[in-house]
Amino acid sequence: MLTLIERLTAVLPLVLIALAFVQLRDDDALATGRVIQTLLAAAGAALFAALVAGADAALTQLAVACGALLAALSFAMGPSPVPSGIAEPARPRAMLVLLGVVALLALAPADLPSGLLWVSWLVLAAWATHRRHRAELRTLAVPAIGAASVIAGATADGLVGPWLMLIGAAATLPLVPFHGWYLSLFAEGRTSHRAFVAALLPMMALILLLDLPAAARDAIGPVLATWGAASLGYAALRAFGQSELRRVLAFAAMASAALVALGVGNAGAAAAGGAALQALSLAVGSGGMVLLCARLASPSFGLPLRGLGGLAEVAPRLAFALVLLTLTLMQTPALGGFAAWWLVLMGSENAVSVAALALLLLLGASVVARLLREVVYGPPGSLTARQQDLAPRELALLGVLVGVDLVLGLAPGMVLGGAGLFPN
Amino acid sequence: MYDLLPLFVPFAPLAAALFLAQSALRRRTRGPAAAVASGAMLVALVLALFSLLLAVAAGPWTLSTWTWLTLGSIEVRFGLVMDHLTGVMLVLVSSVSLIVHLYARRYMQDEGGYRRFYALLSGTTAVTLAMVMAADLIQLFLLWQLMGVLLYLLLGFDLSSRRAADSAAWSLLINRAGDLAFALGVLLLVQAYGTSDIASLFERAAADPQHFALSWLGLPGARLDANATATLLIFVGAMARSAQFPLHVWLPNTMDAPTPVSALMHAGLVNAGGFLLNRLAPLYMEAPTTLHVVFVVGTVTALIGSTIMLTQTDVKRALGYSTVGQMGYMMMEVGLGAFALAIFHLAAHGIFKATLFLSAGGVVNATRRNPNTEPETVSGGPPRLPLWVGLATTLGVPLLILVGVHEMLGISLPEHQGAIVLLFFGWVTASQAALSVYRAGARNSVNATLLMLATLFVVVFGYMWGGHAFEAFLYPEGVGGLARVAIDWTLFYIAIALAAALILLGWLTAFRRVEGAGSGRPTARGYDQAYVWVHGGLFVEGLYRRLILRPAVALAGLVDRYL
Repeated sequence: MLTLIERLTAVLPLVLIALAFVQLRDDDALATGRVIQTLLAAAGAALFAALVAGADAALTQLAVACGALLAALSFAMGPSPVPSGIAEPARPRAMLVLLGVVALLALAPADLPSGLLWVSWLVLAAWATHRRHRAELRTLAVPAIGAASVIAGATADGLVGPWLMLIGAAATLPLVPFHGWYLSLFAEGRTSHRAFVAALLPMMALILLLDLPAAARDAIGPVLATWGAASLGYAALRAFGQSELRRVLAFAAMASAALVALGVGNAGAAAAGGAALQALSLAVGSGGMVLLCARLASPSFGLPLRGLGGLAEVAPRLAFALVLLTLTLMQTPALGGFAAWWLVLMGSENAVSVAALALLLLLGASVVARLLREVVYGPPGSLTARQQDLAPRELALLGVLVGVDLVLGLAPGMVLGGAGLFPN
Repeated sequence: MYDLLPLFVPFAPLAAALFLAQSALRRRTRGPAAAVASGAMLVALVLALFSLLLAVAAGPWTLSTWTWLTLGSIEVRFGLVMDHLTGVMLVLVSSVSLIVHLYARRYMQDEGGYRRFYALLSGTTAVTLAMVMAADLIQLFLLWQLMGVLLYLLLGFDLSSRRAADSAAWSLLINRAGDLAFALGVLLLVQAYGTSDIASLFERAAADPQHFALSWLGLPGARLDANATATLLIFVGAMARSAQFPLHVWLPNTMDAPTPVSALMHAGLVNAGGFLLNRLAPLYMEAPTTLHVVFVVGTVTALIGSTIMLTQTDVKRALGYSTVGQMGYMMMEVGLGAFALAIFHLAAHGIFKATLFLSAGGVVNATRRNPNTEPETVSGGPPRLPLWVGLATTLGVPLLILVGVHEMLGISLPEHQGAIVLLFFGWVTASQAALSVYRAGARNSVNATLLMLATLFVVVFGYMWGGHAFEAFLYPEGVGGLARVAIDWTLFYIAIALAAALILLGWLTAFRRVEGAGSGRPTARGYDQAYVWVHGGLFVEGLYRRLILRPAVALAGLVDRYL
């Protein structure tokens, strides 16, 4: 049974969709976006009706069907280039906001899932009012589908519920094929909101999965673990094959997010603790990475690696921050990702999980080595010359993020025990 | 309170590293970076010496610091173990690092990133010092892997060069592959014995050796010896770090790094593999099969490394392969159960190699600026060593050592297997030295060769006695019966035959090359081809590129395009 606040948060997407609809009517080039937002509106309406009517099974199925259709459309759209490098004067504030979120997580009350769900809707609502792009709609749509699936799963009876929850978690984490929105996250939109979403949504997915009854977790566990392993392999390989900086980082972060699924999918205290730690580490690492991506200036479309290079010479602090943050994504010892990787490895129950973890370790290092070679080393490239170095204040804020990750890596038992997340 | 003293050994360079890292980011002037870092290293060395003296006087002790995490009945508590092995390693690492710190003060003064360099140097030293005193296996692994990451950053110090980035990437990837095996080994041990505390692990592994099922791999009914499998996996980690064949390719490729970095790496960091196996010596004594594998890998590495070294025309690559060969010797010693000898060897090699790198700094610096410098240009003159002299000495020396060890010292080889290593060491090193002198055409090469061989005799016999004394010091209670890891003599004879064949091949190649060059006659095609193969490092690196790197890139491209 949903609480009042969950019902209220379910209404928020409808308001949001209506706002997006109104804004998009004046946009002249986004027919696909209109289709999506219309479907979104339909899905939202169906979901709302389901909630008000007390979770009728037929309506729930309709909502799920709408969600699946939207997911398929969203995936079929593919990535869309959007001019970036737009000046965003709110960067330092965005960093502070992200730190506030970390503090919020540390001080969160017992009903954390409801609170996080609510916050996420607020974030999405704020996001949608910023700019109007097809990719941004996707960024809005997929987590909305995830949230809809989650709420539908919570109201559904019997066996269907956990599977709906699984879809919701997969869209939120994200796992392949629901990852399109995550790529956009690294490249477009308002930085503060991107950082929020990057930090919060994997945490939400984790808490959602950990809150499932043991029987439900047992039921979806093997599928979740396999899905996580497949997603991890896919993302790691895609990261290796990218030629644009932000996409490399986005896929690397996605591979790390898949570790959360792998951890929860492997039943057992160690793996679940590893998943929890990874979600926390990812929140810090990917949030910081999003901020860093926003900080990298680009005159037109993205940041192709061939135009970069020599960042260490032009902007040494920026290069230093990039090195530090990429290290958080490659399971570097003493940082949170390593402890999480180790715990998930300890809790792995099958060869597929172990193979995926091995792949993450090796491809993670390959991706980081290649990225740093192309961006930090060598003579300055055409795009690098435009980069301005980080101000000491910005560097210090990023340093705090790395410091948080250090605490996660050096005292994982204390962190997990303190947060009540470690299922001993 | 004295038991807290070792904690401050890594703390001093760590504090210096953090201070220098933050000041490097503020783009200050050069400042007293060298003084700060060297001062911290001096403090570390003094504390290390005191710690060693305390360990000798008061006996070994352990100290728990904090609980990393608790998982059911398994509690991972980080701490330190202060025994003779830790003490020796603390002194060795801090002294070599201090020398490198002092040397780099002037050597690096014209380079950019002065503070960053010292921050990385001090940081790497701090992590290495912390690693050698780790009391928990997971703690040791964590620091081990962190050392690999810092090594990557150190090797890629020259940010203006993508070549430096490439060689650093090789080190990162190969070490990561080794780390993966290491992690799996640790995991097996923790799951089999329910603890990651090293001392408890030894007790449980000896008292009740475990087996584990492979049903999770789809092999119902199959069981593996936990000790043998885990030690083998951990050894793969040591292979990567200590550049054992075929995971050695990263080491000869790291010559773009500044000379002080090379000195620290060759004198200290690559020795980590030998230290790791020593730290886990009681566990390895429970796994004789693994020790045999270690011996074979060490022998192959020693022979291949030494042979490839002889054919190198680039000074720094030759030094790199020399280290590969020496690491092979070290692993041979471990494989024979002569753990203390391996530490003795790594200490001797560390000091020797650091001296070599630093005293040859000017030449090495010149070659770094021009990587294709021919060693032949350093010396000159015609060869004056007759072939038969070289052959007689390099094949006669081992026999004399064998007789000397067995008859004069009255040491039975099967019971003191370190002698076998000495035999190999003397044999291959003498051959290497004589061949190098012969090929380089050094003046007074006969005298130089005889002097080297005489020195070798002194070193070998001193090594023998010193080795025994050192073993008694390092392991007062012993590490367990050597008879349990008695070497298979067939294997030993095969290795001897292989070494003899390679030495003969080396002499014949060198002789034909020199004679051919003098007479204008072409050398035989087979020899030339063999030479090219050896000169190219047996093309192991190319094999990695073809079998792993290219398919991975192609697969990534396919996934990116179609999925």
